[in-house]
Amino acid sequence: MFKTDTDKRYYALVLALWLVYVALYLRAPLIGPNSYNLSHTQLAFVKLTVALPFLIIWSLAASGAIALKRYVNLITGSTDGQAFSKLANGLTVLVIGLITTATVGQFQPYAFIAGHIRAMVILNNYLQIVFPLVAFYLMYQGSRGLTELVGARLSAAKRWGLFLVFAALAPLYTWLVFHNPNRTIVTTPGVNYASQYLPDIWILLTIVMPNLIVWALGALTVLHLRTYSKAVQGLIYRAALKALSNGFVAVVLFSIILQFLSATSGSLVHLKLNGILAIIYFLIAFYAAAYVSVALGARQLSKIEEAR
Amino acid sequence: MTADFFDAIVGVSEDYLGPPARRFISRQISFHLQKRPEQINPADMPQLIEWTKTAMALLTQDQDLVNEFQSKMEDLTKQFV
Repeated sequence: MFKTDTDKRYYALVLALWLVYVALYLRAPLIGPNSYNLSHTQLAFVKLTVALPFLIIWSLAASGAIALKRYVNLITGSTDGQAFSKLANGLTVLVIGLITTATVGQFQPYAFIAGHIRAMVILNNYLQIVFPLVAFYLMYQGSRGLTELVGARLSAAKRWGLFLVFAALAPLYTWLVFHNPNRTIVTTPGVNYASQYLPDIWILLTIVMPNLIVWALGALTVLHLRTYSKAVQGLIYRAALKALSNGFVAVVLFSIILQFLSATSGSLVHLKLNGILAIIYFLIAFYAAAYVSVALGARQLSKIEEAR
Repeated sequence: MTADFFDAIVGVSEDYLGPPARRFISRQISFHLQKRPEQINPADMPQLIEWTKTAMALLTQDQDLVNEFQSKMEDLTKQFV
């Protein structure tokens, strides 16, 4: 797992941030009713069962980004190296964003008690957009660079497919966001804070539209990577690239699912505790598998560069 | 002839290794034959084929693919002799 001292430092940093996350999570004040009537011990246990998989997923996400960075270091200076470098930088930004937003999010109960919940929610929402926006833009540039290297273009069918998916997705997502009665102020009993604390026009311009752009960039990244995987020569190379490409597809899908859940989070209140945990565990497993696939693909590609 | 020969070797390798093929073959030549890639000539091929076969076997479980690569490299050598 640890190939170099630098790797150890990255994983140590992940562990340190996770400890901060857990400390904040466990010590967070209970600001709403105890809906599931859990004792302090039961509550701490439930929190730990949610927090522990975060350490696993953060470590796996870091391993994916580190493996891709290592591959890029092996091919620095080559034409495909420049494109892969952008992909690796994008993935690194995404992983940093994943850890940062989760940790910052744990300050929300404290901000609620201190009367700063509005600023905290707005900050957290924008962090959840800025990191993926930068990450997917870099990934898009990298994937486009790869398709240009092999002289390939997205087929008309793919472009139309993407357009049709977005034609369905964009109105649905927008409707879900604006269907949330607690987006600007809290109107539902049992809900402690609003999801955006912004006027509708700001929600549209600074939350909905950037998220749609993020998804479009993510989808284009996936399509470009798929196109490159099919057009590029090399049976062994393509097999290694497939795992990497599949990993990126899953990362993008997870990001979109997460945003959808975030938009419809109001409906989660009605679920039973084990229902919520099941959703969380499913997403964590899905996300972990995505990063494992990226790491495996990057390691396989590195083997080609290291073979003597 | 040798630079053309090197390009031809890379051309065959690209079918299996894609964009890393040039780097892969250059590495094999400089590491195992202690030559600059453009100095490769048909007489070096038996040795190069052995080394590349060994390296490729580490990258794929598909022995048929490795044998096919070997066969194509041998055919290429005959064309340049």
